[in-house]
Amino acid sequence: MGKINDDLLDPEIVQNPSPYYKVLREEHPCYWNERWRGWVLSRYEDVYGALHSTDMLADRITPFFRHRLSAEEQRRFALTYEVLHSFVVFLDPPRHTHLRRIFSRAFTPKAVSTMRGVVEGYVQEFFANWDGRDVVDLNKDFAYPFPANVIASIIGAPREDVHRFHGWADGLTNLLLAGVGEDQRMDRAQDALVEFKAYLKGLYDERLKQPRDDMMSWLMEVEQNDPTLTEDDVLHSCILLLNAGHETTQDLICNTLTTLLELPDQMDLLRENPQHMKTGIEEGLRFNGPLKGTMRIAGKDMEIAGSRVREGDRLLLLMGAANRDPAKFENPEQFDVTRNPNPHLSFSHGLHFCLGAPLARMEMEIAFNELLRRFPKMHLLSEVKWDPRILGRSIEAPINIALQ
Amino acid sequence: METKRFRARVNPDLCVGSTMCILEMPDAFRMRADGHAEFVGDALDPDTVRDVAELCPVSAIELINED
Ligand code: HEM
Ligand code: HEM
Ligand code: SF4
Repeated sequence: MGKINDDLLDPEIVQNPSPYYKVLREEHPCYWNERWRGWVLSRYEDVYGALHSTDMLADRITPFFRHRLSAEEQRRFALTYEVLHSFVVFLDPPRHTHLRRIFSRAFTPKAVSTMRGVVEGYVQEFFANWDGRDVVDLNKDFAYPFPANVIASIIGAPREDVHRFHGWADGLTNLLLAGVGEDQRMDRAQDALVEFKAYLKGLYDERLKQPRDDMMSWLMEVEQNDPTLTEDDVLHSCILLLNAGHETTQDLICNTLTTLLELPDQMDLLRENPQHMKTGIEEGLRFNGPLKGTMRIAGKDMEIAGSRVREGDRLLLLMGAANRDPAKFENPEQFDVTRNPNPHLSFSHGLHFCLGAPLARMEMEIAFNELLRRFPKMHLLSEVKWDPRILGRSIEAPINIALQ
Repeated sequence: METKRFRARVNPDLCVGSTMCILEMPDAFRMRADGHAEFVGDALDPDTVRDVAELCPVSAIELINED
């Protein structure tokens, strides 16, 4: 068994993680990464098992604040803790169950189908602006603003304000990507949170006087009828939705379109057979999903693939590696828009299965049908360079595409 | 008027184990060891089955006519 590279940001691994994933799966399925200070799981069976296990905790915020910050920092960043710790994605039952049941009603496939008009409107508007242009930046001219506008409209934020979210969201994302308490980053993230929350509180107060037909008003109505919910729960949940619904969808658009542009046979197959669009999008999720991994904390001592994992240890669950496990997928290194079934783990699985999946799927389908129909001559001008991130799979901007 | 009774079926290729159906109807759905839910209840009226099917995030619950 060769020595394993502990640097998850090694440029070679970032550009093409597949060979690294293969070694992990075959030789070190439950691997202690000393540099990341946690276990790394890579086989489909183990990642799936961890996502479904009640012994795996999703609250990685409390251990982070308790063990990695000093008492002074804990006081200084109390607000950040409070906000993050109220997000469903970082909660465990029973609180998770309670919030998730409320939220899930707003995002069922049927509820999401009522948002179709909003999504179609934005798609038409963005691509009308592409007409007649020779070159566009996929990221700046579509993938970045489109999901932000959609989620802001759904929550009920005025469109003129959407650009302000970008700065706040970036502050928070930097914190998440830094992963560790680098003081200045934490300060900036907390400043962003304070501003973001104050802004949302303004929308909240407007709706107290005059409810509207939007998600914030709906959440407020639920809050009024549920004594366990507070104003903060509503505001923090809107922050979570704005963030969760934004960058992930942006990355899925960029990752899937560049993959298709690099594989003209697959692109032609999809353009000539739009009935494969649904399976094509699932294959985009499997092949280069926006999150390579997610994190859990072991809730008790356990054995995984022959290794002894202790209570309190952290684990990195590599969905990206599981999605290319030959034990689960035939020809896993091949991108096939007709692959079906396609039980990829890119939206997670189990209790925390992505709440926004029906919305993300609808956004992708509407956008890609229109893209392929309107711009049959699209081709890539830039080289695809992946951004060095531990969890995210994201392409560096710009992504220049010739339309003619 | 005759009222038809229905059963539900969980399509294991689609189910992601979100547990929503089990939370909603703990007597009718159960989690299997493989992480997929299954229907274990008695026949139901179609509206009840449709309501729970709508809560499933991946539309994995199908309505099956008893007859
Ligand atoms: C392609 C786009 C997206 C991808 C790949 C994605 C991926 C994920 C993943 C992997 C998780 C689970 C994390 C974990 O298990 O630790 C998750 C959770 C979540 N996602 Fe998404 N997401 C996407 C879009 C969206 C959208 C559009 C929304 C909102 C409108 C959203 C809202 C959420 C929420 C609220 C959770 C937390 C659910 C819970 O913990 O119960 N996501 N997402
Ligand atoms: C406003 C939104 C969010 C903020 C501010 C935020 C912030 C954070 C913070 C502070 C951490 C801890 C970093 C560490 O453990 O060192 C973290 C970890 C993580 N978050 Fe989020 N988060 C947000 C939304 C989400 C959503 C919606 C998802 C899922 C789709 C997600 C997925 C993750 C994952 C997978 C980790 C593990 C990170 C690691 O390995 O260090 N986050 N996040
Ligand atoms: S609600 Fe749907 S995805 Fe969730 S456990 Fe039930 S059948 Fe499976």
